[in-house]
Amino acid sequence: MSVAVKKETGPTLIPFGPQHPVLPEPLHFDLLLEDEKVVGATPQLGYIHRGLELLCDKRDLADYVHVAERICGICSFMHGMGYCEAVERLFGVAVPDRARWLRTFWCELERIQSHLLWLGLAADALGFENLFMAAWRARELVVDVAEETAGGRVIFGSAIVGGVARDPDDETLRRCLAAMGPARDETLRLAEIMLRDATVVHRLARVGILSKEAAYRLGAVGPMLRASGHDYDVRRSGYAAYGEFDWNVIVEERGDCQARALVRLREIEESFAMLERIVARMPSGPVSVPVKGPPPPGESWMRVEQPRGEVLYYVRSNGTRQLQRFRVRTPTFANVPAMVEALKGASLADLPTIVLTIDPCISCTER
Amino acid sequence: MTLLPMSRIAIRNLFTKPATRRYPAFVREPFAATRGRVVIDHAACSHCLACARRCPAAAIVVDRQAMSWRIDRFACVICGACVRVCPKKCLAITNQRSRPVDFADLAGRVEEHRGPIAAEAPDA
Repeated sequence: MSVAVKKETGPTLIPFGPQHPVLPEPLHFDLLLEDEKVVGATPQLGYIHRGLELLCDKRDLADYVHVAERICGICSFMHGMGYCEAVERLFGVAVPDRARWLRTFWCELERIQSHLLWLGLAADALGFENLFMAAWRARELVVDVAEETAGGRVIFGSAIVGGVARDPDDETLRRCLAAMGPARDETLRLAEIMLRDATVVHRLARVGILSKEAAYRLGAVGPMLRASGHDYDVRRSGYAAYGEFDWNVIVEERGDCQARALVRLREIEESFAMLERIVARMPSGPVSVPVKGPPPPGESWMRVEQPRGEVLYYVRSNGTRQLQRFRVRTPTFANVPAMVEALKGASLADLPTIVLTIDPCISCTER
Repeated sequence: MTLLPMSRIAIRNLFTKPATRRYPAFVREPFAATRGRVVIDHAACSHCLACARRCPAAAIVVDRQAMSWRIDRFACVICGACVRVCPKKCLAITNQRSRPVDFADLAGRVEEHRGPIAAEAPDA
C-alpha cells in the first residue's frame, strides 16, 4: 500500500521572533523558506515604541537631553550629544574647544564599549559563551573609565546644551587611558580568536553577503556599509573635534558577516588609538557656555556616526523653549532593508548570525 | 585558522578570581566622579524653590511653610541641574549611591515613592 504524499508547492512561511533566544530585543520576521534556504523576509517592528519624540514639546529643550540620552542604552552619550549639537545649531551657539574634545573622547569611548558589547552578543549567538564572557570582562574596564570621567557607566549624563556637564582633569584622562591598556590587549587577543577560530570562521565567512552595489542602493550605514567596500563615515563631516586630528576609516571589501565583524574589531583598535591622540591634544579652558532664552524659530539637523552607523537628528522650533518637533533616524532603521537583502539565500541556521552582525538596536529604532 | 585558541584564556580563567562580586553583600568603592545621589545641607538651604522648578524629573518637592526639602530617589536622574542652579550651593552630588531597597521594607509606603509626589526615600 502506498501512502500518498502531498507534494509541497511554493515556499514555506515561518515566523521568527519577536521572542527569540539570540535576540535581546523584539524583532519579528516573516520568513519565506525553500527547504532551508531563505528566499524572502518581511521585517516587522513596533513592539517597543515609547513615543519619546513626542515628549519634546512638553519639556524644556535643555531638559530633553535626558530623554534623548535614554533613547538607547548603548549609544546614550551620542544620542544626547547629537541632540545638543542640533539645538546648538538652532541657537547658533559655538561650544568651547575643551567641550568639543571631551565630547569626542566620550564618543570614542562609547564606540569601544558598544563594539565590545556587540562582540559578546555575537559570540553568544554563535554559542561561544567563553568568548562572550571574556569580551564583556574587557568591556568592564572601558565602562569603568566612563564612570570615572563622566559619572555614569551607561547613561553618561555629561552632554548638555552648550557644552558638557563634567570636566575630568587631564591627569584623570591620562590615568584612564593607562587603565584601559589591559582592555586593549585583551581585545586584540579576542579579535584573533573571533577571526581565526575554525568554528567561528565557518559560521561567519561567506555568509550573509551584501554586495557593494546593494549596500549603496539600500542605503546601508555604518559598519554594514563599510564592510561592503564603501569608504564613508559621517565623522568626516568634522562635528565635535573630528576634523582636527588624524584618524582612519576602516573599510573591508567582502561584505560578508566576517567582514562586518572585522570592521568592528578594527574600529575598536582605531578608537583606542584615537583616544590617545585626543587626550594628548586636549585643550584647556571652559567646558560650557550658557544657552539662555527661547531659540529663534526655525529648524536644524545634525548627523552623527554612532557605533552602528549614521544617525540623523532633526529639530524644529516655533520660538519657545519647547521644541515643536524632534526626529531621530537611527542606524538600525536604515540598515533593515540591507539586512533583508543579506538574509536572502542564507540558510535558516545562519539567520541569527546575520541579524547579529548588523548589530541591531531595536529600542533606538522605535524610540 | 587555529584550533582551540580560546583554551589559553579558558585555562587562565581557572586560576584567577571571578570578575564579578557578590553585590550587594560586597560593594565596590565608587569613583570620585560617580554620580551617586543628590544630597542637601538642610541648614544652608533657603527653600527658594529654584531646584524644584529646574528639576527635569520633578523629583524635588520643597515646602516653604514646613521648611522641608524632599526628593524622590526613584524619579531623580542625577543630572545635576539642581546643583548647578542652587544659589546657596547647599546641594551636591556625592559618589555614594543609594542602597538597594527591599520592597518588604517599603510595605505600605510604596505609593508615596511613586509619581511626582516626592517622598523621603531611604537616604542611606
